[in-house]
Amino acid sequence: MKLTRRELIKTNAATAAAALAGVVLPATASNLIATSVDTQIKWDKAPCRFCGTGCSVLVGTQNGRVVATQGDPESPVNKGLNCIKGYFLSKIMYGNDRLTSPLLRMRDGKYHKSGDFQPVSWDQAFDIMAEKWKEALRKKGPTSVGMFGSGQWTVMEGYAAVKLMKAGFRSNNIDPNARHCMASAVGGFMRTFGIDEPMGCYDDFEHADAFVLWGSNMAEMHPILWTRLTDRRLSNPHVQVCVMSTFEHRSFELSDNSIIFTPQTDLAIANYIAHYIIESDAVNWDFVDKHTNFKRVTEDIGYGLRDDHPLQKKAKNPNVGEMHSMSFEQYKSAVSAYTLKKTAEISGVSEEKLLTLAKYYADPNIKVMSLWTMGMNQHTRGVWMNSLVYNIHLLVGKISQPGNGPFSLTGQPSACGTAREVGTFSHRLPADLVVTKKAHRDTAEKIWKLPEGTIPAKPGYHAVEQNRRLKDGDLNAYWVMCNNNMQAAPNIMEEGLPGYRNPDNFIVCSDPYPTVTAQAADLILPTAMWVEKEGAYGNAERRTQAWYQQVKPVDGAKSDLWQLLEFSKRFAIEEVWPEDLINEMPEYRGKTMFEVLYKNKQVDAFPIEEAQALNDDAHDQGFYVQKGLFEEYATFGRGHGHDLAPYDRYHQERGLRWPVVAGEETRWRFSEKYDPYVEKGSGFQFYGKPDNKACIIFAPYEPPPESPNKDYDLWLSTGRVLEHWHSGTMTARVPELYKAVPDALCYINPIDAEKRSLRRGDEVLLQSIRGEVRLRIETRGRNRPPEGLVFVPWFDARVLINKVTLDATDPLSKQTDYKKCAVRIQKV
Amino acid sequence: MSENEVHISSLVVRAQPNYLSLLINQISSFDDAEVFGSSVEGKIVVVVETSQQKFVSELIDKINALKGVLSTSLIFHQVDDLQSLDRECV
Repeated sequence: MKLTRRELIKTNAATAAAALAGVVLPATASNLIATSVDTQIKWDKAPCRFCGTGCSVLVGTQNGRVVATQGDPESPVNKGLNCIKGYFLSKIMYGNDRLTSPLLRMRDGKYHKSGDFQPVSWDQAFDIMAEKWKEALRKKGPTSVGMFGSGQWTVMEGYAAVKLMKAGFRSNNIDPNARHCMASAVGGFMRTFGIDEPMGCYDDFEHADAFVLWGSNMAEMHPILWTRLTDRRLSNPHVQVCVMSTFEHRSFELSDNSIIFTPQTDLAIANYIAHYIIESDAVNWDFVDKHTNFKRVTEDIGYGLRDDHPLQKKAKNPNVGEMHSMSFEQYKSAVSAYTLKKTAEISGVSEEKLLTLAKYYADPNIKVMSLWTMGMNQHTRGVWMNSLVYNIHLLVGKISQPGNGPFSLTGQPSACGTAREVGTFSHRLPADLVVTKKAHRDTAEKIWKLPEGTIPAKPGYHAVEQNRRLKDGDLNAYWVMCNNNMQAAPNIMEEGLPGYRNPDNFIVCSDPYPTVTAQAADLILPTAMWVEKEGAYGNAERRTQAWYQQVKPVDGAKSDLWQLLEFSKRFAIEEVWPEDLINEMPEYRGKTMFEVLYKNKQVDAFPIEEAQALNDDAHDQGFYVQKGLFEEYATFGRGHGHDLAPYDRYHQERGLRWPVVAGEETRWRFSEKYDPYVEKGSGFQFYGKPDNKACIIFAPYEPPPESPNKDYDLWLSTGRVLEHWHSGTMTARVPELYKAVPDALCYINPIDAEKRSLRRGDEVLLQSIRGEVRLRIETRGRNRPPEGLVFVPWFDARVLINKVTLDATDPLSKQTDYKKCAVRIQKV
Repeated sequence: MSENEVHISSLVVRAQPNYLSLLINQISSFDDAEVFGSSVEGKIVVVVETSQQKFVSELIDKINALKGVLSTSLIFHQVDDLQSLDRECV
């Protein structure tokens, strides 16, 4: 029997799919097991480059290029499936406008802030960078240099960057773009549990009886997890799905209890559920008495705006995060204000739907999984809101057990693994340590073999503050790496762009592509991505996954890690540390920052022979740099509830969920049954807190900073769509994907459109008091807002919706609220 | 991107079981899609061949929009060269 190559590839494709789906193919198809096609492709595993789910993908390479991908059948996360974004993994590296040379703004042959971008060598690029950094350090000291990083950095890159900034330059002005997505989640975890990240894991999907989506559109944003949820719902008819949002989206198709609530009123709804639990005598007293404390927040805390903003001045306790103890009786009385009737009024949700929702939590026989992402985190009361959901689970003891638990989903592939665990936030250090505590700084300095007092005690500028400080001229040498913040940050016309273009500042942007951010910078560095380097990511369920480099980077591009290390070689330690600090460890005199930080007999402890033949970063440094960085980093968490396995093991596994103790991963933390850190006989132990108790933290409903009014009569909510990932830097370069959703649309209710004499497809001007964008309206389609609200995705660089959004943040987490501001719409 | 690029991919479509046979017919009627098999639980194995002009994401969108489809997952994807596809290799 003769076969063409086409038939062989198709048979391969069908066989892979059939094996996963449990579908038996007709004999004619299944007999044709293709081998000759396979032999030309080399397969290896890597975690997907896109969202926080952490799917494992088999990557097929041929002649130095990625030509094929397949969902990894051995992965416990995606079990062989991929979402549509996975289709584009083989092409994200090969966009036509991929950058291949550093580009510097130049005039008359030298750097000029108003010059045009011209190619320069890596040497020239680092020369001018080092000059600008040294100048800033000389003039204003360490607080004038900064870095904006990413939840897409590999673990090692994030770790190298933290060390470079906090120990090398002695500046805490490093923050990740995870500030825009996960900071409120971190705040909630730390306040309630004293330790970051979910206690449960994806195994919960196969055990829960009810799923409550607090604002999340999982069907589009986490399609693989949605498939697991769908499977559970369909194969078990008793399972209920409750979808809550401020507008209707695709996840509602599976919903048994659909709730559209007025923006910000999730605070009231969560308190109502707590009230219902108490009122209906459903409190799990054994659990509550043994394992919880009651607290209340400080109220009226403002909106994280500039201090001179009227709303900030009006607040009684701006930015105050202090908590106060309260008794159960006081808590009971506080939530009793949120009656069913009052909550229905505030939220616009029917009493019947609220009651159904509350019963999922109150009924001891229903295992509930709560899920959320940006709706709850990008919220001026995001930290409060995260804790309010934990309150509900704690009151009924539905936590840290299979199928029972609150689960904070993440948006980026290593928001957990890098941004959070490595501590790339302006106030953090690895493994949940913080710069404000002397004992924590001591620990870091000891592990890093640095003199006492190296790390500054004051938190640096967070993401939004960085843009403000750039504009004000306090932050002058600034490196943006692995993100597209000029598109992602709020209120860019008033803060971000003036900051980047401030003549006092020198802005560097490392990216594979000429993003909006790159174009607003002064120096662009071309960056290697994904399987062009070796790395590790950590997903939303604490799973750490590593991959090998599989192809050479496109010519001219270098990894973020290489860039960080090479830049550190440009500084003598005397140029970054004061004399008295060097006197503490005179052996560092005359060394470069690179030698002090990375040639410390730890990071360089593993010889090049242990690395793969194809590992550019290791061969460029002459030692197995990824392993050295990972192992040094892992010493922070081992024995402290954050244990990671030896680095090499991650190359053998499809990831492991920390803490990894005695070689075993941990699926449900804080439960004696599953977590080796919990003492025998205690049942549960929230060991992030000194007294092993979690906090039930009362917080009231407080209004949003801006609501629709007579001039700006609509709510604006922003978010993503399935085909595009975040700002579209990678996905918008794949023609197929771009064609599917070419331009950001403004989704609007047909009644609102009619009121303004607008028809589907009309071009409109969408305005807030801060700025305006032009785009087309959509009255049908996948997102269906209620009257009074419009939704605009933010992937489109030509429709920069962040010209319109408000830079109000959660005053505690400093995370921006992209989900609500007031706008108006006019026909163009 | 080359003019001669061809993309071959496979999908698992999850359907409500009572729509299964209708959906198999509908999906088979799309130019670029072939149904290779299905299961009574409602899973359909689809193989898709698209060129640069015919975009797989549009097709997935079309499939997703069909009544009775719950989700569509990508399983395998390979980019190949049009010229070599008709070569006999076994």
